[in-house]
Amino acid sequence: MTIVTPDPTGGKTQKDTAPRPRRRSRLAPLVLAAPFALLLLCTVLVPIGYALYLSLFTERLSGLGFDGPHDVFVWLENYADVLGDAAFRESVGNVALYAVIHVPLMLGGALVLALLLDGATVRLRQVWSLAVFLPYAVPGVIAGLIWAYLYSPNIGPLNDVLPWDPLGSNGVLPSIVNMATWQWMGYNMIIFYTALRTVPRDVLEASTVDGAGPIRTALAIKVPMIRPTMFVALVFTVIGSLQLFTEPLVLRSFTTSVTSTWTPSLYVYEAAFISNDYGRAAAASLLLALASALLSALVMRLSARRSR
Amino acid sequence: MAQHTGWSRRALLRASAGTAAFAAGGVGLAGCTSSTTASGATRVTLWSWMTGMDQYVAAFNAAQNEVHVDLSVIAAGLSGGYAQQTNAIKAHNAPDILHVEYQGLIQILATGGLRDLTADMADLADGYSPAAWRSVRPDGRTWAVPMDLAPMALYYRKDLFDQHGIPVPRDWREFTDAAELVREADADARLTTFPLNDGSFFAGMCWGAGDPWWRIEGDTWLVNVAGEGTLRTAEFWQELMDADLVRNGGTGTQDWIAGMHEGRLWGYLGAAWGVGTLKKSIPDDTGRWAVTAMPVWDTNRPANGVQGGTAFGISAESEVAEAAMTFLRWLSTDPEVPRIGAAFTSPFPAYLPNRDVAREVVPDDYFIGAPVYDVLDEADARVPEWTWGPNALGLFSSVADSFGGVSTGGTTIPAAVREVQEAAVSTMRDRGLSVREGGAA
Amino acid sequence: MNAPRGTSRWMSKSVVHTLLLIAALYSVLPLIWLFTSATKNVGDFSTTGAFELGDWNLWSNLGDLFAEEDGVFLDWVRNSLLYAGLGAVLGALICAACGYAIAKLDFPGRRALFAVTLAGVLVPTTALALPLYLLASELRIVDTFWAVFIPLLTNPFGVYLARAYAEAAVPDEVLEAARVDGAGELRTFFTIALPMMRPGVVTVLLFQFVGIWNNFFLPLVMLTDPELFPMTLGLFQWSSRVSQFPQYSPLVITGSLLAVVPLVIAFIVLQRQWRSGLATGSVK
Repeated sequence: MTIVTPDPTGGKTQKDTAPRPRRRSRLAPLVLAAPFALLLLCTVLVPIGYALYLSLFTERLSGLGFDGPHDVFVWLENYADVLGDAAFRESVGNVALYAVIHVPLMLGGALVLALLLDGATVRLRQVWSLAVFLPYAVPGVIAGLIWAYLYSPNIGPLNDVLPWDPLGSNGVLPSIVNMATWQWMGYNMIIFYTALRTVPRDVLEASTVDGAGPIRTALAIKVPMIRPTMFVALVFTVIGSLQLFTEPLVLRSFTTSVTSTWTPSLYVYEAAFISNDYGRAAAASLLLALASALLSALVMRLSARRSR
Repeated sequence: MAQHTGWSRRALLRASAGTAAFAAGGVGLAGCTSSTTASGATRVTLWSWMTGMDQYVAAFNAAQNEVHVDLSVIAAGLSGGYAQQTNAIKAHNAPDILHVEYQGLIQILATGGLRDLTADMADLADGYSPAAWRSVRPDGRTWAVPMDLAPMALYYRKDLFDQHGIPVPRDWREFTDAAELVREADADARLTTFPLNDGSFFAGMCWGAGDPWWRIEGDTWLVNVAGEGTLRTAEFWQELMDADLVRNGGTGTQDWIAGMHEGRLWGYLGAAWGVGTLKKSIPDDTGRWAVTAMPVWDTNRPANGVQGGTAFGISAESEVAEAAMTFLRWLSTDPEVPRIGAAFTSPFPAYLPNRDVAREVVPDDYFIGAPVYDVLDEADARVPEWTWGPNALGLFSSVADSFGGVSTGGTTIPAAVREVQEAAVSTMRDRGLSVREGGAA
Repeated sequence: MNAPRGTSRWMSKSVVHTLLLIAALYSVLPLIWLFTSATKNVGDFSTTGAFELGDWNLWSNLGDLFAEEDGVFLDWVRNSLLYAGLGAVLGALICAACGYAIAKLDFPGRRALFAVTLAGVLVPTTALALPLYLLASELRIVDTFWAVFIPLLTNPFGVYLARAYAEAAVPDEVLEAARVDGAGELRTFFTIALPMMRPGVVTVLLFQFVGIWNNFFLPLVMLTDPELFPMTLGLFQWSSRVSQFPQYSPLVITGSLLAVVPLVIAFIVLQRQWRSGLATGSVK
């Protein structure tokens, strides 16, 4: 635990005392691994442990509340409160619906574009791929602001063009899906495209000789070969979907249709920083982390079975 | 146990911070927390989101050597400012001076983070507008220093009203008539908007109806969000909306500004700070707008609400409370302050002598009709009793959330209001507060 | 010549290119809107068409942007560069060292470390932000540079990638040879393995830079002092004032343009680097 900084003279000393390389080499891996291990401990494990501890307490006021709050141990009451809270369940529902639309749309779009790019007849590959990739370089907050303005009546064109109101209560979900799809499609397209380039060309040539058209080659040969890559992308997209926060938060300044607890992450934020209920916020945070871990474990499980 | 592991964790974090510091190599970013400056002035930290606070602070720091104020501009109110302050109080790193609005005062008070200023403020009691002074003394003790007040008024397009011969509404029945006349005059135009996303606006409306959402009775909160006056207000606006006589979008948005400028909205029910908003966002409209008193329910007992208004509290943990008080007295009562403010806003000070200064120095060349300060003074005098509760800010969010379904017909304003009342009562009970439902006996 | 076949090929070719063109327009038009809007003043912003140019106000908008609140925007630019630049360099080095150690060296707890790292990949950063805030507030380091900087150094996925790069790019024989020559493990890492892993490490660095540059939630919960804000948080704070003070709109838009441009340029200029880095990573 005390090894924090790598000893800059370590290498030299070792050379000078060459007779005992074994002892040195046992310490060196620890030195290399320690900074990250320490970070992992301090910024992931300890905070989770601390949140676990806090999630068992709640603050209570008394009378008019002018004397300030005091802490009370409440066992699992915070978890029960969160799970029993209609607002939380609604936020889970919103995110689930969002994920059901966003994940296939974004990954499907990315896959189609990657396959198109990988086709033999395409010109200006670099230009297309770069253009579609660029939104990845836009911070989520700013992507949110750009689209929010584009959705706004009288400012952006979308409100006039679309048959529905992109900021109306039925319109915000597709609007948010669009924001996220815009940001992530190009990135995943590049990932898929890079994976496609590693598909051995002789396999493809063999299938062309067999008389398979480009679409059949793509579906029957290319897609199965990059399946592992697609599953990794799927896991990350699912985790990302659960975290949905920035885009709805930004939209809140532009429309009434996004509530302060619209997604689980917003719920956590609201509980902690607006209601100042740290216990409930910690419980909701941990539930979110748990759900995300379980869901991604499930997807990985699935992928392991499929690739076997 | 917690104490012990807390320290070892701290040591761990320090250690990793040390690693990073090693790499950062003297990038001087670590905060400096000395409480006096080189010249010996006492340092006071201040968090605020008030426009132009930097200029007030600069003027104060330049004017004397005893106290030096360090300002941090934080996000506005519900956009993060309150959260940051409440969390800082919990994290024991609150600034010496906190920005509170009247509606947020009790909520901050319930964190135990404010210092009792009763003795410090006693001599200023008579100087303030009674509505402002009441607002910082919810329980007979003084918890904050009032800065300004935002009574509500009706802003309207006098040019268009005159052109079409529409009488200026004095009560809410006339308001409905005016709304009809505006639509008749121009099918695309409406009299105003009822911003469904703004809980503080609705609260201001209900305040004018004279039915406080909270009252203190001994050691108990009386909660009455769905009282007679509030429901009357809710039904009134629901009817206007059903008849398509008003819009329901937010105010202050680009869309709203464009609507005001292009004649799609002929009026605006706004607070005193609306003066500055109009002047700044639609400067081209000079000579078109007028301000008049808010429509009332009963012309024999005219009343209007308040929407906002700033006050400043001192942290209970502040070690330089006296110096902080020196600054706040200056900020609240020195005639220099409205003079500075006149350059970029239209201040409406809570301290009456300063209001006279503002009246003189703020140019009244934008509006036509009655002088703005006359209208606002009148509005200030008409403000009835009102008490904010310890969940007022959360309630604004839940009002906005419950109103979300109104625009699609999923719910109505009165139904949403009843929902909010229930939620408010149960939230307050859950927090351990002593609560009773209903109005005063 | 072969008319029917040629026609169908031409057809499919134009279909493919049309689809790509649509995707490219979808991706780039909002950025073009950002640019045209950054050149407008408040009035033109809501009155001219979305992609039309109004009066050219970009320079005066930029002037206003850097003058607002005593030039706090410049602080935000500096902070973003500092958080992301320093964080990415240091973070990538830490990832490389750890990934290499896991892939190529043996030490007690190696498997456990890798398992926890993998679990760390799956924990959403948003779910971690609140626990981090609670801990930081217990340690009284909320609203400091470190409260944002240190957690952002932690990049479990970077370690995962670095491990893959180390396995792919550093042959055991080379390490064996170095050991036989008597070179210490640390020295071997810095002088032999690290250069071999370079394309991978550059990729980790670039993507960690983007990750930190774009990060928002952690600074949002940790920071109060605007002098410590990164650009994303500062711009969000201004955007939250837009509803009361519309004059912030041009500042928000112009500031957004400035926050986007460096990364766009970086990605265009460093194309070869990150494309090849991703290629190495995706083999795994």
